[in-house]
Amino acid sequence: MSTKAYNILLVEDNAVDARVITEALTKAGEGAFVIQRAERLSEAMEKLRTQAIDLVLLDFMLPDSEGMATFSAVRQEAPNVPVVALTGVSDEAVAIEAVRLGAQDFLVKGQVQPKTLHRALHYAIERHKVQAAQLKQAQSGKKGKVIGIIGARGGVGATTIALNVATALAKKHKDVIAAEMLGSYSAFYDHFFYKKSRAALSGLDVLMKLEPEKITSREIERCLVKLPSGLGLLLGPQRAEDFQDLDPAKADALTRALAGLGQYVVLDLQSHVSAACQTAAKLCDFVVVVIDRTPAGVVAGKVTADLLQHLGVIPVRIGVVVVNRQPLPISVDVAEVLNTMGCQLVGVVPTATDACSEAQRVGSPMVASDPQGTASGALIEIAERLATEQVLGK
Amino acid sequence: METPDRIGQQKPAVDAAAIERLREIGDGDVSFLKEVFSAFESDTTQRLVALRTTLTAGDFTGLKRAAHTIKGSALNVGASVLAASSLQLEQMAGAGKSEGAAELIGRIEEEFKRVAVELRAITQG
Repeated sequence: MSTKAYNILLVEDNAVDARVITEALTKAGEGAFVIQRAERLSEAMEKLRTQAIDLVLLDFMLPDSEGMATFSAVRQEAPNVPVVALTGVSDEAVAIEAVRLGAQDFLVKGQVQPKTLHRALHYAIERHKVQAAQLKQAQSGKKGKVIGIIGARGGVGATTIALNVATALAKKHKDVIAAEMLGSYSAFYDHFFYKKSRAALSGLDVLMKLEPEKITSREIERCLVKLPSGLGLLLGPQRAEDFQDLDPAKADALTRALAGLGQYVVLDLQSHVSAACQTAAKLCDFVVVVIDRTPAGVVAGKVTADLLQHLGVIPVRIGVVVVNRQPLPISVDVAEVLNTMGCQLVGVVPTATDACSEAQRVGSPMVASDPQGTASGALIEIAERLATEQVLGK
Repeated sequence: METPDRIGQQKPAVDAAAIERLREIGDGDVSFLKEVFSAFESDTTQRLVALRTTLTAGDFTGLKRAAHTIKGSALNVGASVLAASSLQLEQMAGAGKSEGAAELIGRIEEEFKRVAVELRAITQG
């Protein structure tokens, strides 16, 4: 635990909320936080101008400002100070919008527990530090960012998310690669090529035959399938005779070499987390856990997040994407998801059965085949969030 | 200890789970509970006055804000009926509707009295 107390600015006009939050922070923080309060936006702006604030805990409904305008004003005044939104029970949509626009997290008032609050603020501050370091590194232009995508359980659509994120990134950035980390049947091939050709395309089948030290950026480049969009695909094997377990040492070499090759590398990691995938996950700058929005999905997500932490992936480098595969009656609050999993929200993908079917039919990810669709919009935002300094790396 | 159930046939105005949460946050410190309840009572009393004055003045923004604040405070102390009525008023004000607002404010005032009595019983019990 840090020895320096963090200076927290609590912007909250409601006296009862302010008292409860202050108590929760004081009790759980054990001196980790120094809290000062502003009741109005104008007062908060003044404090941000004149003091070194480590984090703003921000209610959006204030006497002199309301909704997203409150958040925008704070961001504009102090773009380098992390913000955690405080929302009411019925304001989840506003909270998600705030996270989309750069808030580190949100907390639902009236449900906050000291431990959750303490953890959320610590993570937000630590994430912010990581982001600043990442920004510096990005400016010095050393190597690409590796983003791992892992389904909390099979069938949640992690491969679809991985390909859509990579496709969206490729629209804006050069040298984007999507790679499968598996030694058997290529799902990427299914997504892109199944209607076009049955000829096997080279990829991991070739690389897996090399010794780890021979797996270099140059070798990988020769095995990439370049799509017209500019996206480079590293496909898993497609022929039964090429199937084999991916050796962890080779997965390690592959991930490192990929990072030297692409500006953004999206790794499709297997939901059962093979030894190779564990090795790759450890090397990722950020790992996205994809869950379906059901109680069982949340539990699976928690287990996956725990596993990643057990592997040494620090919590600020883990995020969650919630997929509404079908409109289900047993849906779960996003706040509950975050609370259970203890990691940040990267995005929520709405149900898109028709767009999914169409994407499969034309052999192109949804963000390319249906860019105006709501699910595509969410996926593009997820890609942007992963690409920008809002979610971060080394 | 006095239990809220003794107050008439109605359901308790204050949800026990919310009070338990506050006790946990305060680590069993009664003075913290007293402070929260006192902040709730004094702040809500002021906002109730604001409900009447803003409604009379046709100031829907002010009405919405006051109702919103009462709702937030009520949720902290587990006053779910008070919170629900305040949310209803907040939404009416947000939509610029005043029909039935005065009656709703009346109900909010009555419910607040019930909540205040129960909260006092908790810290005195």
